[in-house]
Amino acid sequence: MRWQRLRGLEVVETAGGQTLGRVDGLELDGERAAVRALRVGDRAVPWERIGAGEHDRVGHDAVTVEHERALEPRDGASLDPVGTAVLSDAGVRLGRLVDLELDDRTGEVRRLLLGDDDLAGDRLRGVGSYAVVVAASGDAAGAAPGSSTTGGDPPTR
Amino acid sequence: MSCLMRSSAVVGLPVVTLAGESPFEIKDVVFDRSAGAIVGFTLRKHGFLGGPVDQVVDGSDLLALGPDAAVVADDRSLRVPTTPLGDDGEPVIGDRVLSRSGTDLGTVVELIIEGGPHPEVVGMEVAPTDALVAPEGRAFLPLPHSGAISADNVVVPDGTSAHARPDLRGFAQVVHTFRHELEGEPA
Repeated sequence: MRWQRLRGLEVVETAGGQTLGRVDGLELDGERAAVRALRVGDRAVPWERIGAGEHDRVGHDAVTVEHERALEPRDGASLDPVGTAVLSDAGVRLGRLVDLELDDRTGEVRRLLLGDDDLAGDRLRGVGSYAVVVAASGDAAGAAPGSSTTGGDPPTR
Repeated sequence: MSCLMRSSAVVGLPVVTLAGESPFEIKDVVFDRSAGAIVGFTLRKHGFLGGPVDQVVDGSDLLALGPDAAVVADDRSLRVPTTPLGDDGEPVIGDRVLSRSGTDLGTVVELIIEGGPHPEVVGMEVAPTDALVAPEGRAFLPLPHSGAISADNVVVPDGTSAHARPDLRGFAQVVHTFRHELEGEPA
């Protein structure tokens, strides 16, 4: 399941059928590389409180919760990571985030999709207002965009 | 060897936490003159007109210095120091580069920093004197692991000029070879 599909879905309370809002952001757990909660304006619904079906947590046309009490108050703006710069923890910019591929049941990040590359989800370290931070790999470390190398020399800035 | 960076390019880099936040950017690089090691960074608010802040990044709190960011674990790594960071803070830029036998090689224009988890000054760009062969009017010289850098002079081993380069292409290998040769020199 892609984040771009999840974003904008209505959040509906199954107890009374009320629409509580729309998904407009994510809270990600960097240590687990998984979605902790979905932001709905100034509230958030924890991932484990989503859905009541036997299969996927997120429905095709809406996110359902049993009751409005499942939504918790939140301070600060919702965070939509699409378009955010992706940096390795070695301080190298890898690109911009285009989308996230999520596990439909667990909310784990399977892959981070950049413009011309994609990264394994377990490399995720954190998502913030400035950058998405991922663990550096042996291939990505030192690969500064626009830099030049000669004969295997590390890049220069 | 990790990425090589000019010290002027390090200034202005964002300081980013693993949570993806960047409260500040680098204002100045502070290094240990005798060891060439980066001991930390002073900070400023983001933007061209960003004013200085009291917080610093101590080298022990730095996870990595890369070409696009300095990375720290979290905002607890951005601390107001209880003692000054580094030495007297006299800039090295503008110092004379003198060989151990007393030949003036030029004036320091720029420091060359190797990034990574333990960033280090590995070389310098100099405005050369006639003692250096520099057809393009500039030269890059490697520095040993530890050296003599005072408020006025950077003293380098004799033979450093033989490793001068006109640009940074291949410079990482030059530093490696230069330091390897020094390790074999008699005391």
